[in-house]
Amino acid sequence: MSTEAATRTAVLWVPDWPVVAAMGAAQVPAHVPAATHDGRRVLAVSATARAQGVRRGMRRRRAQECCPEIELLDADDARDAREFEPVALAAETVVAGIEVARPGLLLLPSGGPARYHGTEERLAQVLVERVVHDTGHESQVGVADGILAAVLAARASSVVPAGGSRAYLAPRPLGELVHVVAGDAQPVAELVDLLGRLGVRTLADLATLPAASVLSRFGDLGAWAQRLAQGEDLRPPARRRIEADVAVGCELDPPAERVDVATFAARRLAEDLHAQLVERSSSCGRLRITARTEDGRELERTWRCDDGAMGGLTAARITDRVRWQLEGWLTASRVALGQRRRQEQRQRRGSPQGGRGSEPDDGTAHDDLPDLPEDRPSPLVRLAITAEEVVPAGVEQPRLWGVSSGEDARARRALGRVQGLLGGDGVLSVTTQGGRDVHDQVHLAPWGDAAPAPRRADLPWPGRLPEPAPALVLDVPEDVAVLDDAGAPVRVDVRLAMSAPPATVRWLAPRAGAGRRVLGWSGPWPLAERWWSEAPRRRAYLQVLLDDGRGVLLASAQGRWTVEAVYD
Amino acid sequence: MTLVDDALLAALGGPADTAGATGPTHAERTLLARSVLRRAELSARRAPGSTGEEKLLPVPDELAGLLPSGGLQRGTAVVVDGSTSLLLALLSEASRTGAWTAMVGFPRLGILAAAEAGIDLGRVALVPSPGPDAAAAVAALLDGIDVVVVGPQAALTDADRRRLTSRARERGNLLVAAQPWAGAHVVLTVRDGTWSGTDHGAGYLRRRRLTVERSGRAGASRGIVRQVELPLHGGAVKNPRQVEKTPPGLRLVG
Repeated sequence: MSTEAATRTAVLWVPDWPVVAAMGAAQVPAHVPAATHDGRRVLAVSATARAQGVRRGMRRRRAQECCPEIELLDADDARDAREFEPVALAAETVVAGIEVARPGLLLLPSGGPARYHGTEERLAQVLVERVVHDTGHESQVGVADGILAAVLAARASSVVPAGGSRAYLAPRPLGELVHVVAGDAQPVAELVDLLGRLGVRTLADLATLPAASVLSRFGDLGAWAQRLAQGEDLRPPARRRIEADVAVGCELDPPAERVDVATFAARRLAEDLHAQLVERSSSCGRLRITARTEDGRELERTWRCDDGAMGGLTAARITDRVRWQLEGWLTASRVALGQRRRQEQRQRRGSPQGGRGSEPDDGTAHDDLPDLPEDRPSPLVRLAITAEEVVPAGVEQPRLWGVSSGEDARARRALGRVQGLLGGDGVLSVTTQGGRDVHDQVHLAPWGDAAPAPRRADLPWPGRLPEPAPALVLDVPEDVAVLDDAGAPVRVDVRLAMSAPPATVRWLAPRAGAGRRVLGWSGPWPLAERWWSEAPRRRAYLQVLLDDGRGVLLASAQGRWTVEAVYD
Repeated sequence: MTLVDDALLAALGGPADTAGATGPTHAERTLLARSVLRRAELSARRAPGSTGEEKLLPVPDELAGLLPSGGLQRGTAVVVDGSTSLLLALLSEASRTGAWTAMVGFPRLGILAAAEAGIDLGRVALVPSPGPDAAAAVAALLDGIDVVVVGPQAALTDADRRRLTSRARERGNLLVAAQPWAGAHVVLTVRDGTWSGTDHGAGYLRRRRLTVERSGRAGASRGIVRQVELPLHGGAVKNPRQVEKTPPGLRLVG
C-alpha cells in the first residue's frame, strides 16, 4: 500500500547486530574481530574485523587470510531476535508503538514522538541514550520520509528534512536497497545486479523509469524497489497490536430443532462472550456466528457491530443478533440451499430480487412450496460466536467536524430498535453492485450483516440499462399485452426485429384495464446472460412512453411481455 | 453541531452571571462564539450555516422554488405524489450532506435511481414490508433518522398519520410520503409529465419534464405551479456508474 505522502519514519539501527548479538552470547570481548558464518560464507562482520578487510560474503578461508585472529561465530536467527528484544523494550519506553523490521532494525512513526520531544534530533538523541543506558548497545537513529531514506539516514545518523527524501536518495547506488530487506536478500541482490547491467545504477535512475514498464519487466519486486527508490513508504509502521479473536462455543445435546431452544444456548454464549470482552476491556468490530447442523453442514454468518464500544454491544444485543440468525437458519429462509435455489430460480424466471425475495410475493411462494420438505433444515448440534477485529475499548474516536457521529449513533440505535421489532431481515442496508438489469445492480443485506456485494461494480457490464434508472422497480413483473396498430400482438424475433411498432400496452389480469396508447418507444435491445450456464437468461428490453406521461420498461421473453419497471 | 456550540458557549460565556456589567453582554459573547464556530467550520471545509437552530434540510437549487422556505423544513410532513423521481431528487441534497434516510413500506423504490439521484446509500436503510407494525416502525425510526420516507405498502390509518406527524414535529425529523397524508404541511402533486429521448426505436428515455403543483398549509397555502426537469443538472449529483459516462444509444442493428 503506497501512500501519496510517505509517513515520517524514524529508524533505530544497531550496526552489525548479528555479530553484536553473537558476541554478547558467546562473551567475546568487543576488541576481538568477529564475524558470523553460516558454514558457507560470512554473513555479518564486526567493525574491528571490517577494519582488517573482512567483508560480507567471504568464504571462511578468505576471511581468515585477511584476519587470522578472527572469531567466527555461528549464525542463529532465533538468538538475534531474542537478544534484540531488550533493545526494542528500551526503545518502547521512549516511543509507544514500534515495529521490529528485523533484528537490529526498528521502525517507528516519528511525527507524534518528535513533537513530544521537541525536535527529531532530540528524539534521536533520547532513543540512543535510552538504548545505551538500558542495554549497553550503541545504536544510530535516522529520520526521513519513507522507509528506505530513513534506513539510509540511520546508517549516517542523520535527519533528512521533510520532503527531501527523493533528493537524498537520488545519487545513491542501487545496492543500498539491500539494507531494507527483511528476509532473504538474494533476490534483491540479483535484481540490483541485473539493473546495473542494464545501466540503471543509481536510485534516481530507477525512480525516473515509467512505473508500468518497471512492473511489466521486473514484476512485483521491481515495483517494490521503484517505490522505495521514489521515497515512498510501502506502508506506515504498524503500531497497533492485533488482539486475538475471542471465541465461545458449545455443543447442543440434544440437537436444537427449535429457535427458542437454540436461543437459550445462545443467550448463555452471549453472556460468556460479553463477560470475556469486558474482562479484556475490549470491543469488537464483527461477530461471526457459526453453527454445525446434524448432517454436518457448517453455517456461518458475520454481523458488523461497529457502533461503538461495549456500551453499544450488550449481551442482549449479541443474543438478538444470534436469534435473528437462528431464525433464518432454522425456520424462515431455508439454509444455504434456499439461497442457491433462489438464485437458480431468479435465473430461470428472470425476475431477480436480492433480499426482497423474503417477502411472500405470490410468484416465489408458489414456486417454493413444493421444495419445502427436502429443504427442511436439520437440527443444530454446535453453536459458536466469535468476536473478530477485537480492539481495546475506547480507542474509537468520534469525529469533531463534518457529519456528527452522534447522529450516526442515534440512527443506528433507531434502526436496531426497528430490527428488534420486525426481525433481522426487516431492515435492509443497500449498496450498488455490478450487473445489467435493475435488480442485479442492487445488493440488499440485513442491516448490520457484513455480506459483501457479490459482483464488482467497476467492471464494464456491457448491455446495462442506460441512465436514468427507473424510479419504480416492480417486485413482481406484471404481465401485459403489447399490441400494434391493427390490434395484433407485437413479437420480437430472434434477429431482434419487431413485427410492428407498438401502439398499445394493455395490462392483463389481475390488473386488467383499458389499454394505454404508446407515444414513443426505444429498443428493443437484447440481453443474453449466462448462456454458458444451466439457467441462461435471454430477453429483449423495450422502453415505452405511455400516454399518461410515464415510461415503462418492458421485457419480452418467449413471446410474453412483462412490465419490469416504471419511469415516473 | 449543537454540542460544539454549547461547549463554546460554556467556555466563552461561562462566567456570564458573575461578570456583571463589566464584561461583554451575553449577546455579544454569543455572537463571538458563533463567529469562532463559523471560522472553525470554514477551516474544516464544512458547509456553514447549520448552527443548531437551523431547521432546514437542503434541497437542490433547481427544486428550491417548489418549497415555501426553499428547503425541507425539519419537523414537517411532505407529500410527493405522482413521481418517485421527483421524491428522490428532492432528498438527494439532504442525504449528500449527511442526513440519514429510511424508506418504509416502499419495496418498489428503485435503489439504482436513488443512487443516481445522488442519495448516499451508506446512510439509507430500507424497511420494505413492515407489516402490521408499520406505525410502530415509523415511530421508532423518527427517533433517530432524519428523513423517513413512507411508501404505499405501509399500513397506516389517518389517526396513525396524525400521531406520526406530531412525533416528527417533536423530534425535528422529516416525514416524506409518496401518497396522500392527512395533515401534511407541503403537498407536491405531479399534474403532468412526459419523457423525452425516445425516437421510434432509437435513443432512450433521457429527461423527464414535470408540472408540479404545490399546495399545503401555513406558508405553502398559496398554491403554485412549477415546471421541473429531471434528472437535475447539478454538478453535485454523483454518478455511481463511473465506467461509462455516456451510455451508447441503443438501437436496432440486426
